Amino acid sequence: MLFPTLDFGLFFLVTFTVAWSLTRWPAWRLGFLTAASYVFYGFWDWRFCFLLFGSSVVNWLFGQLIFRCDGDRQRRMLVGAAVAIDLGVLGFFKYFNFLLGSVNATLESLGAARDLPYLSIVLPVGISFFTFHGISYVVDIYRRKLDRPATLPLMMLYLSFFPQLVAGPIVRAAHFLPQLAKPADPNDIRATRAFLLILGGLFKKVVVANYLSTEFVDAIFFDPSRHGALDLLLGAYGYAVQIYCDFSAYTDIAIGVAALFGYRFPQNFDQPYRAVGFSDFWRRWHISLSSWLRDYLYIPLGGNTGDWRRYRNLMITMLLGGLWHGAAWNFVIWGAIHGGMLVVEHAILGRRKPADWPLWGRVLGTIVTFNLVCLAWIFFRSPDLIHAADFLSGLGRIDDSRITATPFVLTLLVGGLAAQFLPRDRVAMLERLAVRAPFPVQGALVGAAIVGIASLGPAGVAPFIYFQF
Amino acid sequence: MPPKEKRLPRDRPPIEVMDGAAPARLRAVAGAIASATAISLLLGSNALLAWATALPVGPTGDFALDLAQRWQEAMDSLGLTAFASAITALLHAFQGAVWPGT
Repeated sequence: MLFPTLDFGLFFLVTFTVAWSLTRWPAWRLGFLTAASYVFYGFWDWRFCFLLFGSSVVNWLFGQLIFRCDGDRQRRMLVGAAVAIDLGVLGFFKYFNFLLGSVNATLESLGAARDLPYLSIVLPVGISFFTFHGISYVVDIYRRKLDRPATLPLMMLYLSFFPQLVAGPIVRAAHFLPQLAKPADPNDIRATRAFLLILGGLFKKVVVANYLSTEFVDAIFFDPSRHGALDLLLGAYGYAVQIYCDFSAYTDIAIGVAALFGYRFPQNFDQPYRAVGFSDFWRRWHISLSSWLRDYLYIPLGGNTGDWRRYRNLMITMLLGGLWHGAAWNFVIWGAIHGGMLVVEHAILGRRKPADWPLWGRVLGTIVTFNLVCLAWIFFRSPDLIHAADFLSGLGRIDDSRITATPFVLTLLVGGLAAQFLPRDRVAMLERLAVRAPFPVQGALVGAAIVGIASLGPAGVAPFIYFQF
Repeated sequence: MPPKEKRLPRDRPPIEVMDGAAPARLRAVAGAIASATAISLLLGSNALLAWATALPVGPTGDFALDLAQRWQEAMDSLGLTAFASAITALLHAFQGAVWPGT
């Protein structure tokens, strides 16, 4: 069930009505939200509901054990076991066939060929995200960030809550469980801002990301050898806008929908293409994942303890971040570019922050960072390294000035990039205007805007890009 | 001398999108959502028909399709499909635009 569909609209109306009518009975409300979240997840494949349930039970059990255990060594072993189980399940679904292929290839090169059979494994939608939530829970218990362990019903809702279930944002246990544990307040629904986020998300996904993808970017990346340098350059920029609009749309809608149920999610994107460096970029792009990687991988690796250790940890973190997207060399290179640039930036700039740079330095930093991020996107989007190499070599065909980008596509692309430079508090500014209208009028405008966006969009909506991760 | 510890703070709070947003009462929000639903039904009958057409064939799907068709015809006769149609036509015109000289 995708957000920008009528199916989801109906699901939301029923869930919203029932959930708020159960306000006086918080336990029933949580139970209903859990059941609704499992129905939402079951729309993809009901069998994966058992996996989600199993993950909730395992992490809940380990949470109980870690909380009750006093010895540091035992606690460390328990948290290590819980994380190993979480990552083992994730690794099985994501990398089993890749590892099997590598073993087959190695055995063949050693002259001991065995045709180990591949398994027909379907990657459960959102498995990465509920795995990250599970790890966040056991580690937060281990670090004593939670006063007490969650009950099993709370744990089930924490992992399955439908707005963030399949593509984030990653909501920390210490941030979200206390919200679930207290009754939702029917007098404190941040509705106007939620409406604006949902409408903005729908527009970004249904119009900008969909059309950029189908009318331009897909064709460019399908066969880069048929395009000239300018077209390829626009293709790379187009994909940068497409993936931003696609992914940030999902999280904006998720944040808005959660707010209508009385819950707060953290910000996940903050105009990433205006970043003046790679550190700045990762403070603006998929913030919930980058801060998750920082707190649960980078810091346990040793964090900033010494320059060389910092560089090593940055590279490991970004390479694993790349591999998380998929077992393929192009994702490794994507991670290596980001890790390498972070290392270079730290080595050259040290503690000097971009905010202290002169204006020309910040402008130059933004242009260079954006283009290097686009270079990394070429590897990320290409189906394999051959296509990526074709794309990069094509950027040298400057004599070929054909452009397949139409004025419509170029408008979406330029508009998408220009939106990165709007005021950071643009949603709050719009909200201050919108709240002047009475709620029935706000609702009418929301309804008209939804119809307008649906009329602008193509027939059918492609799944969000990050569903595959 | 061992390297100096420069760890990042572990308790950096997440940035809240909803900070400073205006709170509203459930009754008002429910009214707004009801109003949005009503306007969507009135102006978006074309999308409703497209959705019903894609439903699996069966008694429920056939019933929904029949209902959506009749609703769309009723809205069309009232001129309420013009809003969506005008937006789609505008988009198609823009989509079909080409560069000067081509």
